[in-house]
Amino acid sequence: MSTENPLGVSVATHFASRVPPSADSAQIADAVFVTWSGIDAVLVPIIGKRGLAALYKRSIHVTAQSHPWLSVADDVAPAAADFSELTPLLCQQSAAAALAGATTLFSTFHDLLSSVVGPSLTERLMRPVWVATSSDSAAKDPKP
Amino acid sequence: MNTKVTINRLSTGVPGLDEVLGGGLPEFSFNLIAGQPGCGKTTLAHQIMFALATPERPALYFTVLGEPPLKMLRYQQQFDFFDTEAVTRAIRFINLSEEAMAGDLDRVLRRIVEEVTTHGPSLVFVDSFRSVVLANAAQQTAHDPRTNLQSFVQQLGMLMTSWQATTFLIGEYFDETDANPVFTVADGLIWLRQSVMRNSVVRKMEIMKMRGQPTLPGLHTFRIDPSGVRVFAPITALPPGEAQPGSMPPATPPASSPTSPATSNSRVPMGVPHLDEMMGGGLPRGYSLLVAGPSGSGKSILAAAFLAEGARLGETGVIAVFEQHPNRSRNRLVTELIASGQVGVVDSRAPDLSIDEIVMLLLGEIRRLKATRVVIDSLSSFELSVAPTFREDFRESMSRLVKAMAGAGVTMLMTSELEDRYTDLRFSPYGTAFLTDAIIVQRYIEVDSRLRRVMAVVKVRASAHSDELREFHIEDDGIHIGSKLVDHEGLLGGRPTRKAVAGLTRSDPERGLL
Repeated sequence: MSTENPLGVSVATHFASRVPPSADSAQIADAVFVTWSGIDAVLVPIIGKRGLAALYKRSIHVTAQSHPWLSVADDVAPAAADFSELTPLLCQQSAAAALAGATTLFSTFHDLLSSVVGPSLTERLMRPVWVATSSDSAAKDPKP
Repeated sequence: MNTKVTINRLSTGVPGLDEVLGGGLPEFSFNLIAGQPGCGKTTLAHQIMFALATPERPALYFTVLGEPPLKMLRYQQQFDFFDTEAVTRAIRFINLSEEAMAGDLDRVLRRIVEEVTTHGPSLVFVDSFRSVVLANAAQQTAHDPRTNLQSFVQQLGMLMTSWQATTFLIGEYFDETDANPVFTVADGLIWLRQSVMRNSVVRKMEIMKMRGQPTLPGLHTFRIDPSGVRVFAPITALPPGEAQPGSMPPATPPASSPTSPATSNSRVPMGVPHLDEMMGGGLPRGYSLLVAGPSGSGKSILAAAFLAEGARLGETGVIAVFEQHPNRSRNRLVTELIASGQVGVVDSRAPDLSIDEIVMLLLGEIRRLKATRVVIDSLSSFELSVAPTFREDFRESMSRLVKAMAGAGVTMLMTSELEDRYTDLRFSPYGTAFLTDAIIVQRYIEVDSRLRRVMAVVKVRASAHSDELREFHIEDDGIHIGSKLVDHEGLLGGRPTRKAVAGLTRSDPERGLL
């Protein structure tokens, strides 16, 4: 999947760059939570909590087909997405598996949003998320 | 010193809407866009928003419970006006479903106030208002829902005007007969409708209210196509300069005043030898001419000659055709003129046309080409192309069309299919004959077991013209007008008889009367 972000880098690559190379699964889980919170802040005002929750659940469902460990309780019509539910699941995996699952999840979400509102608007809406994550990662990088 | 407040009028960016509104949208007004589901409210609102919003004049679009925002974004971006870059830069979509679901209007209002305070928008849209009302109704216990709603709308209206925002409430629930308090509070009320008649659906817009502005009364047709909403304002609404073609090509004399064409000596050559003489020197410039005749009598050929003559003199023309297979039916001469760019085509095969739409298309082409000659071929197929709902008013609409063309200063030729009725001297099936300034009629006659054609100039307003019935032939190079059939009489009866020599007539007296 080659979902592009505004910088011309795939969402997967972008998220990978957000995580230090030697990160353990707990750090990856943190990065995932921070990124989802960023998406939440950008999209909820526009599409509502339920709108985002529906897209999030669908992305989880699709990603779980290739990463079966990523299965969360099925709620037919959630009132809001609970991203913290991902943290324990990610922590139980090896760092490599957690990173692979998380990047697939973001790519899937990005593709899903693109299929609904088109790549150009998706890029426009998600720009603050990726731009913010980039600068954050630069600031937080110097971890031992 | 003038101490009156000056109200800025915002240009809506919707073709034709500013005219219908009476000069644009008053700044800081509080407007309703109402109508049944599917009639184009959200599209209209988006089109206005994308036209007006800039980073300096940002817009807030509140989505409530109606259309899910994701779907709205999905479908609205199909229109040309949707500019992705404007989203978040000049336009902010805000979802209020949580507040609305709670059914608490105060909470909805509070949230709107918060967002307006934060972003300081110049434009505010609330879509759809129905959900606000329903949420309110569902929540009602002690209060009268009406009172609550009215107070909500009043507060919102007050607030937005004070915050210097032009506001739109979009809703499908309004019942026109209902004395809804929202109507009283609103400064503007734009009502969209879909008029259904037989198999056709025509979209119509009515400006039921626009404070302080001379709006155009009546139902105005509009169309939604990939570019968005286009309103077909009646031609009288267009500023005078709009309807005039720019400047005349150098080869032609200036157009006569449309209101008094007869005062001008300027005549337009028809391109058919001898026809100009029959018309007293050509068709007076700015006149409309009806060419009526039965199928195959040569009306379109005459029309083509009219355009070709214009092209020869350096004039440009426009032809409106309404045939199902225009390329097949179009004659060679016209095809060449179109290919050379000397004649523009209005070839609308869109279903459910309105006459105002055709007028707009014609004026657009006239302006583009600075055209001086217009042909409508034919009125009969035009009538078939027009949506059934307009057919009842066909004559009134034709009158508007003729006036619009006169206003544009063009000389127009229309053809009309005429059933051959030998007992009835009619020139047009619509009673449009009186609308036009000149009429030429073509007929078939039977002479010596052959169908032959005759032509006569029936009318040229305020001008002398021939009263002769002249035989004509159609050759490869066009129409050739011959002589009168002096030795025959009863020609209009379709079966002329040779005149008796010494004053004795053998003609059928009844036919001869025609």
